[in-house]
Formats: sequence, C-alpha cells, structure tokens
Amino acid sequence: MAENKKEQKKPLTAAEKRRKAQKQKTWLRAGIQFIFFLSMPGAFVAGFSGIKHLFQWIGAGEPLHVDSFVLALIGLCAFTILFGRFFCGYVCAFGGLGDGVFWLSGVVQKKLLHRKKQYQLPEKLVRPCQMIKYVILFAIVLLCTLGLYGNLSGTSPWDVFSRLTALKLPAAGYGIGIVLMILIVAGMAIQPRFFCQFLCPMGAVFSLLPILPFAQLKRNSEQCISGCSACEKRCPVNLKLEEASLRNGECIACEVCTDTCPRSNISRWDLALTKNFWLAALVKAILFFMMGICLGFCRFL
Amino acid sequence: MNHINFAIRTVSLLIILVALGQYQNIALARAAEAEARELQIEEVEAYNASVLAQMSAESEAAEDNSLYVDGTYEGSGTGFGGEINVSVTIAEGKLTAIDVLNADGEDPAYYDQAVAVIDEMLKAQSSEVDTVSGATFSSTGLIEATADALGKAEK
Repeated sequence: MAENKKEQKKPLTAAEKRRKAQKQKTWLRAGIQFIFFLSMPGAFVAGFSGIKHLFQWIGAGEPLHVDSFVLALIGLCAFTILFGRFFCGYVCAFGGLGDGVFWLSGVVQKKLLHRKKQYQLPEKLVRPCQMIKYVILFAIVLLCTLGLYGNLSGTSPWDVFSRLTALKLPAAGYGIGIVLMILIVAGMAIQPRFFCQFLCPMGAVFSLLPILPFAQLKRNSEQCISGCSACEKRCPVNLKLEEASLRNGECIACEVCTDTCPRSNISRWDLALTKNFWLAALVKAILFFMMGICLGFCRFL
Repeated sequence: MNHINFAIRTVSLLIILVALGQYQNIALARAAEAEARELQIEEVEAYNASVLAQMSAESEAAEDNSLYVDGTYEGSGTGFGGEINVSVTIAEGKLTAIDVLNADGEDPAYYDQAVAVIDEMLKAQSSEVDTVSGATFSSTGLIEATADALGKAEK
C-alpha cells in the first residue's frame, strides 16, 4: 500500500500544479475583467455605435467621417486583428458579466441545489444558436441604413446595462430593454458566454475579421492523448479546437483551453515566447488600456 | 491550405473598405454640389432681405419679437453619469452661446458625440432638438440643462 502511494505521488503533483496554475489564471482573467468592467464598461457599445453611425450616414447619403464612435470601432477591430479576440475574452464588460453570472449560477447549483454538474445547453443547440448573432447584426445594419433604427429606442438591453454601470436606474420607456436584459442574464446562467456567442452583434463583426494567423491559438493535435477532450469540454463557446474551428472566428481568446490541456498542447506565439501567462495577458491588457484612454473609453481619465 | 480562411476574410474586408471608399467619393461630390446650391440660395435670400429691409426701414420700426431677455443664465440637467451644468448667453434677444460648465460624469467617447446637440440648439435657437443616437443620455442632459437655462431667460 505504502509503495503504491509513493508511485502515485509524482503524477498527482503534476496535476495539482496544473490545477494551481489554472486557478491562478482564472483569477488573473477575472481581475483584468473586473478592472475593465469598472473603468471601461462602455467600450463595446461605443464600438458598435460606430457601425450604426456608418450605416446611418450611408442610408442618409451623407459623407462618412471619423467621429469618436467610428474611431472606437477602428480601434477595436485593429486590436482584434492583431491580437485575436482579447477584447472579448478579457476586456468587454458584457462578457465579464456573462462569466460572472455563469460562475454564480454554478455556485448556486452546486452548493444550494447539490447538483453534481452545472447545467449547460446541449451542444447540438449551441452551434445553430451561434448563427443568431449574424442575423441580429444584419437586421441592425439594415434598420440603420433604412433610417428606421430610431424607432427602436427603448428596446436596447445595452442601454439598460449602461445605466446600471453608472449606478442609475434605467430611464422610463425602457420596458422592452429591461425585459430583454433580464432574459439575457437568465440565459447567462445556463450557458457560458450566452450573449457573446449567440446574440452579440459586435461579436459577429469580430468573428468575421481576418485575425492574423499567428495571433490565433494553435492545437498540436499530434501529441494529444488519444480520447482526451478536456479542452473541448471546458471551451465556453463549444469549439472542437481542431485547426478549422480555431480559425472560424468564434474563439473569444479566453485561453481556458491552454491551461486545461494536460500536455500544454495549445499555445500561441506570445504564450510560447514568454512561457508565462501572466506576462502575456498583462501586456495586452496594458496595451488595450492605453488605447482605451486615447479612444475615450475610460470613465475616470 | 492553412491560410485560405484568413485570405478570404482579408479579401472580404478589403472589398468592404474599397466599397466604403467609393461611396465616400460619391457622397463627397454630392455634398459639395448641395453646398454650392445652398450658397446660391443664401445669396439670393440675403439680397431679397436687404431690399425688403430698405423698403420697410422707414415705415416700420424693427419689431422686437424675441422671447428672451439678454444676459447669461445657468441651467442644469441629468446626463449619463451625473449632473451637467451649462451657461447660455442671450445677446440682442438671440441665443448666441451655450457653454458647458460641468459634465464630469460623462464617458469621453459618448460626450464627444453628445456635444453635437449644442450646435443644433444654436441653429434652432431653441432646446427642442433631437438627441444624438448612441449618446442619448449625455445629449439629453445637455438639452435639459439648456432648456432649464432658457426657462430662466424667458420674458
């Protein structure tokens, strides 16, 4: 018995180390998300307003110009092309909210309802639902071009959310927006990144961008333990993580897969170069923060 | 093979950018035409007005139909993240300036958009203008503050 234990000790510590690194990384990401949530909660709405403005001008036949929203759009898109969807994984306030609500829902389900596994939507449902966001993007662009977008005032859940981040109650006339916001939060509790992968029109734009190939995560499948699918199981956007799916734009660069893999088979140039997830994430966070200040995202500066 | 996906996306993005550029050329040309036409109309109107003014100068004293009393007035409204204070200047019965005294609670990217309503209000000589889409709360705060100040300026 004693000998058996000794033999098992070595692999156990490796797994423990991995779990410890996993925990540290989860906290690092949560911390970065929290800081951006407090300082730049309006970034994603500003960027998407850039799209709306462009198409409203086109609809009205006016010349285009670069205002603060269009500048925000250009900044977000450029950052995403260069670094992948780091904005989605680490910065966006709505994404942070989604992660927070899903985590809380997990705590409630496990501790209070004594469920062994947190409920998630079945995978078959997730794939087609991810297409909804393209329909939403198309619908909003169409409405803006036709000059009908103004009729939708009071229906945007983003407006309701932005009021809440300013510690104010939503204004009167936002009934539909409030109902949608409640539904979205409920959805966030049953599926990780519910809004981001199913509904977010800005996410739809990001997933169509030509993200530089080296800025995307890579899985070295040849070295995988056969039958292991640890990365797939923990991927919040249900990627298969083979070559094709990592390139389809849905990856939100949360990097959960990189520290889940028992063989560290999933990597990217910056992670490989620094051999240190703290440095890679912090450098990008600081870069984004500086860009955000220039683009007027920061609430305090 | 690996980069086909990236290549397709890059080409699509370039096509969109080129299309936007083409659109911009056409829109700019149109805007220039429209501006030229407006200038012509303005010239004609200014000439007409000067003739009319000469004709009526002796018979009628200039009617004072302004709604406001000259002076500087302050007003406040609720913006996105707090109170917005403005000061409006009325000179010769006209709204000539709207200065923002305080808008500390607004996010810069949104506030930059919202200030467009100031020009709108000066043009309209009234606070009854539309809000800026995407910066509804900040522009509403500016409009409210101006309306508040104009209320104090009324005769």
